[in-house]
Amino acid sequence: MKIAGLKGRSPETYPSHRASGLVDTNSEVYTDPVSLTTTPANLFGAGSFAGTPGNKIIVAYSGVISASSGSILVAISVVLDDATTLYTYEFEVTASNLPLPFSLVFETPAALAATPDPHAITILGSTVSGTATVAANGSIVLISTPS
Amino acid sequence: MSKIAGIKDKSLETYGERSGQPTISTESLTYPTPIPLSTILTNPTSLLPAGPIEAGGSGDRIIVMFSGVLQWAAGESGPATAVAKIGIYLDGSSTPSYFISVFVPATNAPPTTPPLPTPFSLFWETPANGAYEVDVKAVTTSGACYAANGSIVLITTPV
Repeated sequence: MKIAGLKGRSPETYPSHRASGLVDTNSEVYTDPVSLTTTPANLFGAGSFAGTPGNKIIVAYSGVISASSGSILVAISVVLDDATTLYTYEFEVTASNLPLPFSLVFETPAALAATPDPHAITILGSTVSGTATVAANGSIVLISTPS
Repeated sequence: MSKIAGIKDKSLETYGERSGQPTISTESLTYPTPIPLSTILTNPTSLLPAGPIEAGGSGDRIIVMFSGVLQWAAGESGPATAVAKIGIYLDGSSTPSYFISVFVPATNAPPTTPPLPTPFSLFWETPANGAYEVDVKAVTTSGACYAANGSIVLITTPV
């Protein structure tokens, strides 16, 4: 039903829920340094981020490697529901070239499945050998878009 | 204007002026020219020479994305290593809301060879709703260097 005098603002213009065309965002800055070893470590302590079923999630992360045991390889991963690694990239860390910034952007390739609700998205870091430290102030922004 | 029967939560009072655009809005700019960074810790250099960017509103959050490189400027004598601190500053604050530190190596310093750019990027979102003047500033905590090829994107999202 259109309403007189409300051109461009009738109920047809406004769907019943913001999910139509609206993004949701979530973000966090983790203020504690994180030690990386060959065992993957959560870059946000024990925390994970919720993903809404039916949505795609864009992940943007930036941080810094502040210490390293030498010239080593570091891997950073985006993991879904503590089980599925969605994206991984590696980079070399040289102890003489620190602090070393790194960042990643990634979007889930498909809408998240109906279950579980919500999904858990985690950022993990590890080394192929040796140790490294992700400095405090790792920052993540998640953008959830209805698909 | 009075509320309108039958469209609960859909009257004009419910929706502010910007609600006609229930989507994100964006702002962006690039600045390719090398900028010498201040070495005075209390006086970081803005990487947005045209000034801070106003964004957001009472019902909005702002995602800040910035990428650039640190390097020696062409023709600059060197080499020397440097460490730069790059941060996001809101509303003229002297304290960054978020920052990263970057080591700039001395190898390949001009004038004998081209500058060796060290790339960096950062992502951050304002933790609370509001309108802000967003600036990105940098300062060297050791040595000296230039920032170049800066690119910023602000995404404002209704909350």
